[in-house]
Amino acid sequence: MRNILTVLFMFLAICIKGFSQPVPAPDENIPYLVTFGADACTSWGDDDFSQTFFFLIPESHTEPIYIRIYDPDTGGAIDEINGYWNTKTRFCVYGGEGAHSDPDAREVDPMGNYRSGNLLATRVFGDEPEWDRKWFTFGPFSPTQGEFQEQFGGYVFKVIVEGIEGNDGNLYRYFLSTRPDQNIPIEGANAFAYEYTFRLWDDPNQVSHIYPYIDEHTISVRIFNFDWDDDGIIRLVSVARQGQLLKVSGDDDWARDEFAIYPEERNTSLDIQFHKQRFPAIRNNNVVVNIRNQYDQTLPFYVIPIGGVPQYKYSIGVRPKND
Amino acid sequence: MPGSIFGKISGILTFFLLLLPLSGQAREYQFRNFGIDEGIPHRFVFTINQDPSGYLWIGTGTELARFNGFTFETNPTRDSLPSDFAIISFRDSRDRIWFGHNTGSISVLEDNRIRVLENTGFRTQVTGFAEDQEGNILIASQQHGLLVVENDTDITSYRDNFASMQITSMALNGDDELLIGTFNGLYSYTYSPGREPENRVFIDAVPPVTIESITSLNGRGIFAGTRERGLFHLRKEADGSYRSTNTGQQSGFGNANVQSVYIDKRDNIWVSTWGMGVFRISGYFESENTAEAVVFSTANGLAADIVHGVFQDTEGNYWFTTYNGLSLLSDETFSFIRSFGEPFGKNILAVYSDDNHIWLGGESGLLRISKDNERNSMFFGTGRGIPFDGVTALISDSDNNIWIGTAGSGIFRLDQRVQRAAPFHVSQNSLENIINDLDYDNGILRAATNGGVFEFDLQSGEKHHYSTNEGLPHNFIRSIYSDSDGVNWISTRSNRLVDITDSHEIRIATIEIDFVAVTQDHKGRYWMATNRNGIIKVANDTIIQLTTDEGLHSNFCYSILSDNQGNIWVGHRLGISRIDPDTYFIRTYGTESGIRGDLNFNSVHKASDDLLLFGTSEGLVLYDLKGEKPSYSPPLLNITSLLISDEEYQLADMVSLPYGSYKLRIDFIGLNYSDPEKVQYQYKLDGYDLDWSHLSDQRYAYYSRLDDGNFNFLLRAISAEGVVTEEPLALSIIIDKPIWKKWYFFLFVIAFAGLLLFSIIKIRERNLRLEKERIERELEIRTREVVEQKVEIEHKNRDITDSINYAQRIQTSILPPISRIEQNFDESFVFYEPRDIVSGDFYWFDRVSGKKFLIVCADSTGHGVPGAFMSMIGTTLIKDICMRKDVNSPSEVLETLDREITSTLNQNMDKSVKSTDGMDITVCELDVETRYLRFASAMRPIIIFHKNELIYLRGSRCSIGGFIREEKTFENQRYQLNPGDIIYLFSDGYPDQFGGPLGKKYKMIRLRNLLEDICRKPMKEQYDHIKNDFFLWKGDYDQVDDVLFMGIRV
Repeated sequence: MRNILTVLFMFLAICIKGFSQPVPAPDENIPYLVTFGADACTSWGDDDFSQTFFFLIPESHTEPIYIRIYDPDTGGAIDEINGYWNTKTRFCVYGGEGAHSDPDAREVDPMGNYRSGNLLATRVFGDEPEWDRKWFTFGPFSPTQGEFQEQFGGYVFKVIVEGIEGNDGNLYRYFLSTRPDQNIPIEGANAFAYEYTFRLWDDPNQVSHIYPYIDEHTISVRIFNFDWDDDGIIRLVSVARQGQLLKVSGDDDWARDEFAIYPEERNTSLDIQFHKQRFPAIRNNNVVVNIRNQYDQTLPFYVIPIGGVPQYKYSIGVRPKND
Repeated sequence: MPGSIFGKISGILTFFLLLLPLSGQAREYQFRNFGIDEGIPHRFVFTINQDPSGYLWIGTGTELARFNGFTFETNPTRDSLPSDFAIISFRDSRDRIWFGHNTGSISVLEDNRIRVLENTGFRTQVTGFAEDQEGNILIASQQHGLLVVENDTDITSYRDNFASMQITSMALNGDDELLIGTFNGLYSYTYSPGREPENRVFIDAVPPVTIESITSLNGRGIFAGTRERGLFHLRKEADGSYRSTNTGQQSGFGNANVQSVYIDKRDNIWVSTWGMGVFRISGYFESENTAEAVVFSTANGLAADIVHGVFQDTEGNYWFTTYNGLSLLSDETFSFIRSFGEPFGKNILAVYSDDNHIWLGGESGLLRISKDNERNSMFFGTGRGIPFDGVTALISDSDNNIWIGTAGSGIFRLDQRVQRAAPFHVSQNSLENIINDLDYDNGILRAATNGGVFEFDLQSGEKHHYSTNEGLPHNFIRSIYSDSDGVNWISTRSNRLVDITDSHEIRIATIEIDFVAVTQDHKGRYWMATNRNGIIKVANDTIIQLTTDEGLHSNFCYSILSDNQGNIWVGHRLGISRIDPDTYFIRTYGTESGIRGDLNFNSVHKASDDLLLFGTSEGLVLYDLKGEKPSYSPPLLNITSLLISDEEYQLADMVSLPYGSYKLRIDFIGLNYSDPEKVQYQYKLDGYDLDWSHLSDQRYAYYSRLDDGNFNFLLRAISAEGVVTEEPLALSIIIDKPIWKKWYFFLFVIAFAGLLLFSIIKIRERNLRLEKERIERELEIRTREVVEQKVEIEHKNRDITDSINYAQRIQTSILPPISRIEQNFDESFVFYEPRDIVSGDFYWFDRVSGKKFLIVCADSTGHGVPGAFMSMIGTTLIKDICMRKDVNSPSEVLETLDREITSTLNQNMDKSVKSTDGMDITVCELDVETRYLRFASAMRPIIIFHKNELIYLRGSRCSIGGFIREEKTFENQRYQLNPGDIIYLFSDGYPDQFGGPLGKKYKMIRLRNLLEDICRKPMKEQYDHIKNDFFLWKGDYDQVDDVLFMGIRV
């Protein structure tokens, strides 16, 4: 009976999670995404002042979609000021052919044809109090305006955020919604990125997670993190790893960790956990993370982990009594 | 007094309600929206265009669709289309429609085929089309610059001068300037056909924002629609720079996200916005400052407030491509105010307007709406002195008071200065408090009630009540109407329409009609609405009735009105009929026109020259005559499908089929988007049908059997507005003739027949010649044989003739000589004429015993040689018998002769050798002294001239010889003759002779007549007469028998 209830609870949990498209997602426990102005120092936690997110709309969804941004301006209470508010951030929504399928679109650095696809909407935000802690909405978009990706079974929209001026940090969140004025999740939708630039909680008790997906072709991975500032530990949990520690980066540098993928980890997500240290307490810490496979291809982080949040499966050995 | 407390509470509530704006009081237009439920493939509609055939092509979020007024067809041309959807379209000067797709594909519709341009190099969405003065098509892509299509297929790509630009829009301004809109502002290029656009200049008259659309105004500047800053009107200065004005700020939509700008055929500017609907700016090009902007949005019926564009089709309909489907606005004549909020509700029982306001009577009071701003309204209820009752009639007087008729509370007067109403007329008779209509004329107020008509002189205060007592046909008065001659017609239930003094009357036959209302058209003719019998028109003593048979929406009419154009408007449940008073063409409007409620009795009013108001159970219906299209176009006819013997046939101008019998089904459509269901069709198949089919909304024609021939299918249609197709659509159908009906087959047959005839003739000639030769040979042989036989026959004949001649001599020698009889009688004759030289007839006479003289006249069977034989036998036997002593009478002679003949010819022996030969014979015995005559005869008569008369005496009925009868008796007959009497004996050769003019027998009667004529003549003359008459009678006929005729005068 207990097992049945457990399974039922997990099913409901997955269903509920499957309906939510806040970015970052609750499972990630990440307060904000962050993008700094082009004039900022990379040591403040943003290696390229650009962040690309992809939104996946299931093919079965035919209603209009809206991409909403919380606190899109750079100013006010949430964002990170450096001196005075002088930062302008450009949000661009792309769809159409190449938006995701173009190789440059899946790279971690804004180079080459990373703005591939049709530019569907764009908006530059500066210090605009009317958008402080408010939701700005792009859309409506027809799902078909995205790029159809057969491997995902749906249409993909791309949102590129670039800090084009200034040196402040723009902290924001997304929500993929069916309504322009409310956050109504789209059934079966998801969001993913190939590089995650985000703000950590100041509270050391909070653990943030990101969930790279390991496909069936992955043999080994290299995980990069940037500007962790030695702020605690980064653990890796999967169905086969109980808590593998990863190398951590210091200030304004990259750390790289490489390891083989267990067979049982394929077609599952990894759970990269960010545990902040208590002393000394570091505030406003931003970090960049990406992951590549043995072919140097980037692997996506899904805000809703594919297959659910990975749980380590204990292996209990049983020996015959006579032994 | 609970009632007064309730009234106070109601008044207080009403007062507070008046402080609140009435919600939902927005005017709706009759948009027809097409979404997923209506068959549109996807709710996101990006573009629309119309092809030369009239079909609408709609680019949606998934695919391209073709719309015919009824259905959305995807891939109707069955061509291979790009997998991505079309987001922009353009119709060029050659009527080709270009489609730009989401991922850069370009397709073009030409001659009902879609062709995809290859190798364009575009991978991002197409953002603009334009056509230069040489007919080259310019196409812009968001990130891949520009390409120019020349000569249909030659594609030139220009990217260098557009590098790093993200193009959002494009337009040609004049012949030499290319305008490019980007996410960062507007740019100008110098353009020349065949060369890459160059000299890029940023136009700083527009902020560096996203330029969603560029619209060239043909010499009046350009409109640049921006995403962030509204609409700019740019005009070029003398130095080439641009000056701009913010049209959005002028027209009230400020910094709206302008998606596109469309200039319609009336120079109205339609600005489509992202989130604010569509703004229509009228009169802008005449005066920018006085231009009027009207907004169309979801508040007044548009499918969505996010509108991508507006398009006007050939009918003048407006189409709105939105992110929630497609919207159609056929015209702006009908608009609706569906609800007025509480406490007024939506049931409009009465409607009236003065100079500044529209007054509406509802179920619970009165509502006043400002004409300038329909949202500015005021409710008059119990707090303003109006009872909680239905307001059923409204009118104003010359002092600007509003007179209010109620459903059961009498008449109230509203003084607009104090904005309060007071009772004016309340009767003790409840029927008289039911006010159906009010009329005001020159200080006189008249009220139509259920209890007759009341007339109030507002100056003197006098009141008159007219009812059946005063001669009215009924007390239930539906309405009262003052015509142009000042006659106050009342409508009531009777067969008469009368004025209140009953001095004028229009009588409708003898049937009772429930008159509802009456009006007069611009030519003074009366039109009466009835509650069961439709509309009755009276003019010059002529009555015409219009019912549903003539196209009226219903025979139950609730109101009637004549507009300034002369049209008659009739209210019904869920519909309105409009009648052309001259042609009687009736146009109906129903739910498809947005009328959702029943029109109330007499709730109709002409608010101005152009605006008609109709009160319904579902709000107010407004009809703006100004919104009518200047002209209506006929349906555009197309054949949609051709099934020949149940198989789809590729459509073409002409259908040519081999010979056979075919079933034919032709599906067609008359494209009419404003009212497609009401298009009616007529068709005719020339060569098959004798006449056009009946008008019908059926969209196909079916023929169960068509044989060979030339047919011409003709189709015409009539729209709901009555506009008929000028030239019928024609489809030629030729079913080939069978080979036997071809001219060359006829030629072949004629030639073949000629050849055959010729051959037959030749063969026949040949055969004839051969036959002739054969016959000639045969004839020659036969002739030779005949000649030989002739010679032989002649020889034999001569021998036979000689033999017979000799036999004649013998026979003649046996016969007694004539002199012997002449010796015994003075006169006598014997006419003896054998047929064939020798004769079967013979005679014998001789004195046998002193004074007895026997005369025998015999006719043997046969003639010629056989007869001669018999005569020889007979003569011999007669001679012998007559000389016998034991034979004493003529009868004994005959009996003996009979026995002798029988014996001689062995007729009494074996039957097998028995012959039938014998003879007819007469034997006379005459006593030459006493002239006593005894005679016996076998089958022959005898004629005696005795006592001056001829006596015909028959003989025995038995012949001599022949066959043996049981008993043959021959009797003797006796006569005592006198001197001069004559005995005539003859054989049957004389009377049996054929001749005369008619080839008939001579017969006995003629012989007796002859004897009668000649019997008194001498015997010699008698002989001549008998002989001559015989030959004269015989003429050229053959002699049929031997002839023997004897005459003896005693």
